Amino acid sequence: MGRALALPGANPALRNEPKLTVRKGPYTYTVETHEDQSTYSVSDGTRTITVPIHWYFGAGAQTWVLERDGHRYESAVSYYPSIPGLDFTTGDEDLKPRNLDEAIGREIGMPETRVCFGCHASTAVNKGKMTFESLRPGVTCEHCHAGTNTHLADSINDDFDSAPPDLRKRSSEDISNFCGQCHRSWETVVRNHWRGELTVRFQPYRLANSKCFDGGDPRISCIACHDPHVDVVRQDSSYDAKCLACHSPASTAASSAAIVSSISPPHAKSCPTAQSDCVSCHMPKVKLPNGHLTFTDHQIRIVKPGEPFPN
Amino acid sequence: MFVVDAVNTGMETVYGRRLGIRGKRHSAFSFTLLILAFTILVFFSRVCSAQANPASFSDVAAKAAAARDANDVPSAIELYQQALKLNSQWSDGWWFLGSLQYSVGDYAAASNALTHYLELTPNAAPALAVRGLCEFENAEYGKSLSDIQRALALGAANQPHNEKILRYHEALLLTRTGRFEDALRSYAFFTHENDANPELLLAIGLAGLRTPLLPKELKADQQELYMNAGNAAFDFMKGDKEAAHLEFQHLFQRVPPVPNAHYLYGFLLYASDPDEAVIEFEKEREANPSNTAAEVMLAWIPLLQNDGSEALPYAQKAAAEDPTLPSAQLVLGRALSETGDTKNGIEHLEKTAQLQPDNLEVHLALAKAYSKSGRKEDARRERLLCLEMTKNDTAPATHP
Repeated sequence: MGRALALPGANPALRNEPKLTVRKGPYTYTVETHEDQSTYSVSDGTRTITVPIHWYFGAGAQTWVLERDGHRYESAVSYYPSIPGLDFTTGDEDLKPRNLDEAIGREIGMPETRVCFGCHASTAVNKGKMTFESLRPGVTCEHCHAGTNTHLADSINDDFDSAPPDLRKRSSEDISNFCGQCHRSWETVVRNHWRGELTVRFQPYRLANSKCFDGGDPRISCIACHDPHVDVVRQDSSYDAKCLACHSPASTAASSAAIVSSISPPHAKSCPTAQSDCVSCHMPKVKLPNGHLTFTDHQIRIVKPGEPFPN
Repeated sequence: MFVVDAVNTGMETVYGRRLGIRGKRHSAFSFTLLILAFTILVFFSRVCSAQANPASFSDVAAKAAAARDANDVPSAIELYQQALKLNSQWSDGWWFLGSLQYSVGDYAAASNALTHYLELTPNAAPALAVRGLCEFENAEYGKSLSDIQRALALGAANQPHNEKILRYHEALLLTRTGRFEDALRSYAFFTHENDANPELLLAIGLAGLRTPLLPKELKADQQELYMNAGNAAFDFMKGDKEAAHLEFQHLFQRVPPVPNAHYLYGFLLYASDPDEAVIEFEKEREANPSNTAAEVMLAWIPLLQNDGSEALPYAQKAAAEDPTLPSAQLVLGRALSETGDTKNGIEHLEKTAQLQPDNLEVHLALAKAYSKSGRKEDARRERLLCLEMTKNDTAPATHP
């Protein structure tokens, strides 16, 4: 999360791919990088628009927020390491630009700018206002633990009273909503009528759709499985203990008893098939329709062969 | 077919009067197609087999169909009534009778016939839609809204023209029943085609200025004010925010001040610019301290920003001012739940759910509150209900 937003000069992917080009309909997109400065161009064959890239969103796949004539745009194409190369930005595949000026990307107003920078940077939004001056790229301590900077300053003077609240004390539902501020909460997805495979990106929404989700049970919170301070662990077996905390007769044993809340059932049904690599079956990997990004579906379930993607 | 022509005329009457659509005959054709398709389906379906006197019933039913084909509406109505006396389980007969009665403006009788039809054929979207329109004409606004919304959910808006008719009536009814914000959301549908006309603007103005009336119920000397408010809201919703800003400034300068004018502007602004919206809601409260709806919005904005503590004082004030206002109970329930008092929060939310069972926001809040308090099954039930309520809302509200 620390690399959710980068500034020019800190972009190894584009440094290694100094010239990227893709043709989409009548338009040709080019991203060129010289001496750590990248430019984004779109051409219709007779005219070309070129803008410098100031904001690089994403640590793997990259999308750029572009500025032109006082307006901001989400770049129409993004860089996907899986290709590796350029293709339409996820979610923008259906845009139909009417001219070269529109082909640069999707214009984003101030509310959406606040959302983009509010999640991909820290201290970018203060009391609802976008403040580029205070922005720090990526997700820093202050992003989740508001007041951390003050606390650090106070601690130099042996004053520890300003410590930010301990997020671990929140309920699983609250933690889902907290993480969902960026990863999209259940109600955000429902309220916005987002449906289909694109929602696999919104883990709190998918998790809450799981039959086993219990907002009062700490064994199913985001932080029960993920440590937000380190990179996400991608080895399926590493999550087995988290699943077995509920889905094993042994879950009543000492190892998990400590975290089993009195309001939660001691354990759920155990799997008749296996006791390892649980997520490989019950949390399938789903490719987005563009085929360039794969996410783990957090809607935990018994997956039946050939079943449609459950909303 | 006569039934189609007759129904067509009826739809033109309703829709033409409400929306002032140009080229009514052509545009009414699509709704006609819906009824035609449905009629053909009914025509080819089997006539009920259980008949006390098959020969007599068949004879009357055949005569009724012939009269209908001959455009002899009064005779056809009488013959269908006779046939249905012989066989009240003849669902097709009730549909034809209801359609014919609707076409001649006998809305009470049409509604009654369609009720019989729906008892025999539940979930028939066209019948629900036409019955809803009958109930609208009969001033049975609650029933009408319920039928039209059910018809929409069942796919009655299968043609653009049908959708216009039903959405427009839905919005009128939402306004008439005091659900002004929902009405404005419904009116947003009409901004896509930029098809404004004075009656539509007047209707939007009524919703915007929170006046639970139909356009025909408004006094003539008030129409200009409401039309101006509707025009400002329409321009905002279609994306011309500069024009809307100027029109709202003119509205704000009127003497005496227009109740709910700042509220309307704030409501339109809050999705894109919550800070500006807060200013407008505060101005509304200054001008009209008893405007509880503005106080509700002052609570709602921080709630959407996950700031229950900021929302709670506004929510408490709103609920104290007007305990019967469902939205005040909603914000209070949600604010309490999000600041740790889940038990009381749920109580307020459940009360709101009883008052407004089809309000999505209430069920979203209940799902969250139940989940927080460990009521897993209740939370799941509410979540499934929310997904069911939104399953036909296919167009994303914002870019994902």
